[in-house]
Amino acid sequence: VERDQSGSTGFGRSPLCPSAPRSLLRSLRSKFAFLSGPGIVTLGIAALLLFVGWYKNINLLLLLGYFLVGGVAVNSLLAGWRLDRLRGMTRPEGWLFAEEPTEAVVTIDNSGPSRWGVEVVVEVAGQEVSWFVFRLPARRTHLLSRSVRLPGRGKHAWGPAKVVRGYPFGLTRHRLTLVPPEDVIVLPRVGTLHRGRFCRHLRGRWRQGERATQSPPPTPARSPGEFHKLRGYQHGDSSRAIHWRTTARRGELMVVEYSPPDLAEDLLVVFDPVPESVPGAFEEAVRLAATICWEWCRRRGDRLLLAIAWPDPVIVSGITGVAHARRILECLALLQPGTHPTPGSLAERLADELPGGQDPWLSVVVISAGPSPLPAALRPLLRCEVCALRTPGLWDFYDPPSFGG
Amino acid sequence: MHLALRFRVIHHVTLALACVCLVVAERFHFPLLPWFLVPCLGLLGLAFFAQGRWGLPMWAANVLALFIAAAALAWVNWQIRRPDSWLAHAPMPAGLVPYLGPLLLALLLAKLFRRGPASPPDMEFWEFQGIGLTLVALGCVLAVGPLFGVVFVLYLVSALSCLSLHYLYVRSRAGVADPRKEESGLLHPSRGGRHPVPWFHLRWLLLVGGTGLALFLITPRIDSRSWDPFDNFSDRSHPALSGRLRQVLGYVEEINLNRTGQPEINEEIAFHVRAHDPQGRPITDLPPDQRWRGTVLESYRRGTWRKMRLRFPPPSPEERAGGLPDPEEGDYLLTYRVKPKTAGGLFLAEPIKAGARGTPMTVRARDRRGAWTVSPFRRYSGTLVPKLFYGDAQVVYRQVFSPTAVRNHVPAPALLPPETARLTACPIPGLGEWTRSLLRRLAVRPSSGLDRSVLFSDPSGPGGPGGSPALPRDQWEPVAWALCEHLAHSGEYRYNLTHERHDSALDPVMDFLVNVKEGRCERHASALALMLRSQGVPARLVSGFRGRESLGDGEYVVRHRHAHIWVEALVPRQGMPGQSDWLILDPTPGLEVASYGGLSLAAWWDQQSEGPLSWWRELIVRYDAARQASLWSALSSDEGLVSLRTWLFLLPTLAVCVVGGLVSRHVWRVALGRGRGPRRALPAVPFYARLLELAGRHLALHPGAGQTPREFAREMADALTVQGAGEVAEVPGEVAARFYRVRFGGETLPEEEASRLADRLDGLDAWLREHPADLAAPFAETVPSLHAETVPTFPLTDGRRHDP
Repeated sequence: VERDQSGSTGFGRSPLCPSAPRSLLRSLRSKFAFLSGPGIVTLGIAALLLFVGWYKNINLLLLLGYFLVGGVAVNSLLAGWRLDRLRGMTRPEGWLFAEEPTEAVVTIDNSGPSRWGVEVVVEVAGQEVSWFVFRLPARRTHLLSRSVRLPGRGKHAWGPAKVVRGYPFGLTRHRLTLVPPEDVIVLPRVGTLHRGRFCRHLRGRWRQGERATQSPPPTPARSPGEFHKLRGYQHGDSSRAIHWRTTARRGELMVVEYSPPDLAEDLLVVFDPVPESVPGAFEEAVRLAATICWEWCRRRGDRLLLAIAWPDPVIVSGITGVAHARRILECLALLQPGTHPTPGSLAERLADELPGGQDPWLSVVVISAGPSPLPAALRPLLRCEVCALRTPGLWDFYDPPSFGG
Repeated sequence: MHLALRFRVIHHVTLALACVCLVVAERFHFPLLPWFLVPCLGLLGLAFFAQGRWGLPMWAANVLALFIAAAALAWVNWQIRRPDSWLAHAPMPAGLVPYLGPLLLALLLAKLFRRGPASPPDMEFWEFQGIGLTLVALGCVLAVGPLFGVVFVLYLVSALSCLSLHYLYVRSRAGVADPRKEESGLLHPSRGGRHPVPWFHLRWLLLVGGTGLALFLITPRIDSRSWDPFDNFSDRSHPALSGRLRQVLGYVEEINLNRTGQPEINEEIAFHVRAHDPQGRPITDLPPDQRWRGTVLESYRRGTWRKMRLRFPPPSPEERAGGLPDPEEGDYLLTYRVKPKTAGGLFLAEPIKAGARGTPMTVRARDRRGAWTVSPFRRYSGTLVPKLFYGDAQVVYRQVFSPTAVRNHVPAPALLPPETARLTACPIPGLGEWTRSLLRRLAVRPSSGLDRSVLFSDPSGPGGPGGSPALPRDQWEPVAWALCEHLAHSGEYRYNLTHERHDSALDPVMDFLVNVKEGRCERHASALALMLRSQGVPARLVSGFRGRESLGDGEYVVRHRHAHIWVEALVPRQGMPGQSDWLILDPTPGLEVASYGGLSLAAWWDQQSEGPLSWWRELIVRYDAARQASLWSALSSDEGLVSLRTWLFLLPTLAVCVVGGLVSRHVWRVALGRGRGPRRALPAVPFYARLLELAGRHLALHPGAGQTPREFAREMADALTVQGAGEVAEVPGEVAARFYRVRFGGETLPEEEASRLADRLDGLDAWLREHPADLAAPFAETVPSLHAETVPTFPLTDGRRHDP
């Protein structure tokens, strides 16, 4: 697993910069206030009182008007008083998957005096997340977090993170940008892939296509494989899979799910970015590809290739694992519909990636959102059966992500 | 107290103070309004406790508003039609302005209980406070008294606190969404630790008040006229109002001796005058006790002096037009700048050279071409009286003044019998007899100049009431002098700003002479004039000013506090039978005596409050262009510079004291660890650190942001219970309990207990090592929502495929 020095996975990170030199621009920005709505109304009333009071020599009215002006002026002074002593950073917590809750975390470092009424605002992919910190003690660092749901895959702006302060009266507000905006890549949302069923689906294809020409691969062991996880019982699950001890502890039926049998399987996922034939099919295709790649990367040591069938094809190749999953998902996150591919160029690139000739254990999946010529074109080139998955579709090995929560 | 409750309390208190402001300001206009304040405050309190749970439906509120409007219209209409109502004499439509106050008050109360369409609480707050501010602004227009100032300051304090709490309350409601963070105390105001929510902060108030006051003081003024709501919205002189108003010391053309109490000192400038010789050189030695004549008061009835409606003879051509006469040797010129509405009239320095009919007028005003040709005065009874001037336009006129003229005797024309009868009318029974007995007593003293043998022996002269012997005409002047001296210098009668009455059944002058024996100049002058009248000597009061204030370079100002009343008595001219002079008499003692003989709380309070009251009057209510100039000149004068230097010395001293105090506070808080301040680094608690390490290593559990140790221990225990840890699951709770004792209670664990706790942690560690697989299962459920921390928990299929 690749990790940076800070211990995080190095994604969407902004540096905490308490020692950064105070720039002139930053100081100036924190010096100017803007009037809030009540502040504008207050100044308007004050102007009216001042005019009438001055013109008619009504001293008490003049004094009341000046007190209102004084309130606005003092508010402006106090709201921005040493606001530039605040430093901060913001970063998303973990990997960012589309339409899934993620934690927006802001760290505020207050090297100045204690502050009351500080509002922290972060713009996340067009939506504003704010915290109102009632009191920010002096010389402390504070962590603020809030669950946000990112709208869709792709490149989004994370930030800027700002501090807005109108204390004590809320008539004027000072705004200071703590962290400038930066781009983050939101990964496509992944569903659930039943690896065993998917493997059976692939083997079935293989048997149907190449039984006569090639010897079949060895039958995988029927051993249950490695323990994967415990999950709730679903209709259709075998009663033998029920984990009785956990069921007794938790009071509900729990089922043991094992990882697929130990079988070295290499996979080539070819994504054909043809325009979608049904609305939403392209996104569904991306999610399917992401789910397959994600599931394949959960077991380390296999070879996984993702080929984007552009006219100038892009191939992401590597050994399954967290880093490879990251690369593939980022590639899928930025994918946009394109023109029809040229199978010849794709075959040439694949030949470069597979120098030893055709891998007998290689499974090929072509995913597209519309009619694709690639399966038929790749079958003779790669001399293997190619599994075509066209969205929208229903498969027993794939549960698309739910959109309720 | 929770923030929401604090905010609601201060919100309602602010509204209540706004209502009090208005009621205090309008109590002179509506004497019954203070009685309505109690139910008003009660309804505000009811609204506070009801918290909007019940109120009037929209239709009922609208009907109520219609009813209030109709009732208000009917009331105003009734007030206007009442002949004795002051509103009937008030200028319209400005006179209706005070009626806005009760209407706004009713509107505020109706809105408090109106249950309309749901509006944001934030908007509702601004609507209510907007109405409150309108009430206060209306009060500022209508009020001048110091009581309003006190309530006004309280309102400002409350309003600023309310704004601050409103900001915290509204923003915290909008911004806090995570209940776990809310519990942490970082975001939630009611659990904010040792720092209470500030009701108001003294520094902000001082800053706002200082800023506002400084801007107020340096604002350039265009006028020397102070705002008087009674002049603009009502008729101050109307009996329905005047009896309720506080007396103000200043020039008047009507004196009501029935009023009691202490007047306010009016420091407002009445008029400007410039003294210079014919060559334009400034005259800087104008007498300090210079008298400035305004009008004469001749009619006395039931304790009130009024001026008579004068009938002027037709002006001669010399009076109507022409320039100023050539000044004689020693004469100089006085150029006046007077606003009749502010000053109360036009004034001339005494003695006035009225001149005979047909001679040039010694006073002329400027015409449109700038020449001194207009005559603003008319000759009347040996003096000059002003024509009627209205409005606030400044009148500039010049007087040829002869300082060397005889100051006490002014030639008087022969009086007609009706005039004589008017000037000798004395409607006070018993005053003649009382005066004669006084004169007899005074005649005993040789210094009085009275001849007892000839007193009351002239049968031809006008007799006193009851047919008593008349005073011989040649004794009029000695008698006048003797009575004047007795009032002014005998010591029996004293000057006092406070008017009192001891016997309200008596005429106020008789009560003064017999019982009170203290008072202001109008009482002494009234007593002398009426005593003389009771002896058949024609006498009248003159209302004007005595004294001046030099601005340097021949410029003088006369303020309303210089207002003065003196007496003119008609006496035969010495050695010239058939001719008379007006004898000018000033019976007012020179010095004010203490009002209170002994130790009195009221006296002490009056003395203590005089400073703030004077400050309130001079720097706030009546602060105008002239006072602004005086303030700057005082600051730039030698005395001002000295005081400035004193302040410049005092300020560093004060700063040193403040810095010393801050250092002491810092030492107290930081070095001694008392009070609030930066927390000292507390010693690490090793057993809790070990628990954290076990939780992180075996359960991938880490304390969340703001999660307390107890909460974290509960979470860890839940995770252990799910995995069937049994008795071991209680270890986190035990560790957390001891952590609190050590960390926050300052305790040291006994050795036995510490070793037992270490054994328990060892047991937990052993159990966790024995059950790694079972623990991994629930956390693997987080896939596919895989986060950074859960990525390393990928199931490994065999040993050969581990990551390098």
